[in-house]
Amino acid sequence: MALLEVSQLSVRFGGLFALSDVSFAVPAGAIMGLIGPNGAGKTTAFNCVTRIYAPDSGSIRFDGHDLLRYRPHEIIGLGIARTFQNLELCKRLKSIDNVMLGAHTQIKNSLFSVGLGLPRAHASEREARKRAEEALELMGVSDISEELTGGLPYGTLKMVELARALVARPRLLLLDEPAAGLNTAEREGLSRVIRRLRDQSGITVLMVEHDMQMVMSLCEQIVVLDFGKKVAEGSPDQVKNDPAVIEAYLGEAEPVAVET
Amino acid sequence: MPKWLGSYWVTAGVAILALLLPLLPTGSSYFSYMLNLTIIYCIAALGLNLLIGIAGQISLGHAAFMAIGAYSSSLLITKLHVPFLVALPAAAICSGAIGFLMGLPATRLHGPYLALATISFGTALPEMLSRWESVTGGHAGIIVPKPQIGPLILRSDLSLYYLNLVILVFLMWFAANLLRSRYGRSWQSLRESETAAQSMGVNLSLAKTSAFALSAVYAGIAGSLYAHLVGFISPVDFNAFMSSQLLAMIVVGGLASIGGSITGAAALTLLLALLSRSRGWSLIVEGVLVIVTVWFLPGGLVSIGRSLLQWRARGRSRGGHGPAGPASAVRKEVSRHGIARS
Repeated sequence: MALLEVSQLSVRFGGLFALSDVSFAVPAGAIMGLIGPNGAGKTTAFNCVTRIYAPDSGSIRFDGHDLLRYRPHEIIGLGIARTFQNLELCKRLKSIDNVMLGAHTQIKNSLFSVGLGLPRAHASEREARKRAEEALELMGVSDISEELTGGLPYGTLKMVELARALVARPRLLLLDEPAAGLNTAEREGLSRVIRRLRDQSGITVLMVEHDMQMVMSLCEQIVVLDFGKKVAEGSPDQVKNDPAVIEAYLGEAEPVAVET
Repeated sequence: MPKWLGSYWVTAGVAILALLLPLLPTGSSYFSYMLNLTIIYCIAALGLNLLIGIAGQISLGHAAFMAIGAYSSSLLITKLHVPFLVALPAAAICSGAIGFLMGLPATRLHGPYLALATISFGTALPEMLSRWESVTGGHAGIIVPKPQIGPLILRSDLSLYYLNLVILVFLMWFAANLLRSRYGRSWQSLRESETAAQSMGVNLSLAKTSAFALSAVYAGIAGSLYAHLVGFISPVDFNAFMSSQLLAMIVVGGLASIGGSITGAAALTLLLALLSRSRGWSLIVEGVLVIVTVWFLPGGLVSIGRSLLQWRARGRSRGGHGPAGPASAVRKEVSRHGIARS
């Protein structure tokens, strides 16, 4: 059964179609890749799902909900968390506080109970902090939990961002280029973590990624976009040999080896 | 945390100083009056810092919220004979409600546009107060009695000082609690990245309006206490000059910091007192001070103290250089080995 169903999605920026008539479905429990050359519309698709952009037409359904009826801040409550291509972290907050922001909707306390320091309000915060620490631990960056994110390296911040998304306890995780800026060992570690999240926590993953090796080994299904249109869909092997994909990436009939 | 241990002594020192300060045998009523004024500015600056420093929203007409607090509290007491202990929170609520309304445009306006809207508000409100003579007494102002708590009338500046101090400490504690919570995080996420905030479930409109409302509550309390300290209010008390004063306090003291608000309020009130004979000069010195701070000390005065504490803590734990440098991750700006379009 499809957990996320995008149908006939179109987004126009002025005269340019960022997405035109794109449809795909993410089955529950899948690890799915969304690939394509730069400017193909991958991030735009993410931004539509998380309601940062309003599509011009089409529909997006998540687990029976029409996402277009929800406001951006309500999406995470439905069980969709994401990371960003160009890191959206609070630079002047510690890593741990950044991660705790992911638990924003799960902490239940009123402004007055917090301000007056009532024990119940604190308990809720403490629990969130514990889970945030665990998430940082899982991503292997618990050593920087008390550091401001402003001064940390890019690869580390990617992990902090992923930890923040996990704290929200999502059912669907949207990862926008999670491996960018990571070295080979870190990419392998990341692949293991993503697979474990799916296998053990049952989190469905939709990822945009340019690292083909990672995409091909991790994803069971891949959707390929080019110039805002879907050009192919299928298993890694199907996609790899699809002429439309090769053309999208390499231009027409040029015998260049696909980087692995 | 060494930082906490260090600041523990600082906190204790400041507390003792604050308790004993008005007892200094200066023999001058001006001194204790200025101390009271400092505390009141501390409260207003703290509120403004929550809005500007923490939530990253701008308000250039914040004195108007002090006016609302001052007038609502004074009118409740003089016209409706409400006891002080009811009038003060009522003033806070009135001001907070207007602050909430003022936060509504903030959900649509950004940067200079919001600045302009708040300047207009700050300019228009004193004007409205002076025109609404039947209620506010217009330019003639209102004479405000000293606060009365039960049978106790706080006549002396000394007793007022301790009342104001208690309120300030309570409000600092309240703010500190909030900053450590999901509310503080959501406000700070507004400042840093609205995209992130939204995606993590922060309702932007709610976060902005609540920041405005809370900030106005602080200003309203400050305004009410101001009215009772001075004993007389008129619309010109809460003009653009006071708004700019509040802004200067948080910039000089340190944005996004509770300690910074206090430091800045104290420093600028002191400055104002020293240059009180020549008002023109105080404006010039203040302006220069703001520019110099922004240029050379973006963290404000409080950042000096902070780096001193860190320096001491580092000296203490030599060898164990605190948390290890940035983790193993390799800094690589771009490493997209993806297949590029050729």
